[in-house]
Amino acid sequence: MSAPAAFSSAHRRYVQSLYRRYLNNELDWVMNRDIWRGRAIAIRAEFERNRNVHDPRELAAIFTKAEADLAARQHPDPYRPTSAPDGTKWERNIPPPVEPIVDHEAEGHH
Amino acid sequence: MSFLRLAARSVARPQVASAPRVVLPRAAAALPQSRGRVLQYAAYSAAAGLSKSDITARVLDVLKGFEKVDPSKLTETSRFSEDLGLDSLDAVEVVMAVEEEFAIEIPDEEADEIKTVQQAIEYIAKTPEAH
Repeated sequence: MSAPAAFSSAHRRYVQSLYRRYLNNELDWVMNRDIWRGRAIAIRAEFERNRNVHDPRELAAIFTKAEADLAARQHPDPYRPTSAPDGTKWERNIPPPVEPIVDHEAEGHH
Repeated sequence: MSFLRLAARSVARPQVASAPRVVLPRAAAALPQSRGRVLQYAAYSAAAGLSKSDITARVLDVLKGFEKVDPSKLTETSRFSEDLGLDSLDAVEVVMAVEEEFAIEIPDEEADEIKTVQQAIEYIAKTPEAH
């Protein structure tokens, strides 16, 4: 039997993204990295179980199931990095403009 | 009794009173200076507080914590998959560990681009929130 073809880069990216979303979602539920680590190992084991699946139909079924599973355990109020858009520090204390303030209306020519 | 108490008070008081007098002005004098210096740097847009060597050492320390990584093969220029033998899921874990180390969040697309130690160091160097 010939070796199965290597996965495409699109496939790899998708699986990486799925894995990252799973891990980040668990991080939303537990902040403590010691507890999170145990859950991460469980997730990793789940991914490893399907490591050798190459059949596209089977893969599609697995992905559909995984996405549904992830949606079911999604955190309702996920953590946002403070200075990211949506974060609590987003656009707080913006530096004032450095250029001189010109009152265009007082100058009269407009 | 009362004499002893008085004596103890007269001995103890100057110490208590003098200690803050010495400490407080120092703290007060130190604060505005350092704060002014930080502002000065910020206003003239100097690079972030992390030096390149600090970042390198910390990124390498993060990688040393991985079971699969052979510390003898680990250098600044090593690539995750080719040199260190990490698969794509390990790469995700490395990026998440780096995120934790520097208390930042790396967006999905940019995290995908980090495939070598050097790229991780460069990403941290150009991220002002990293600390």
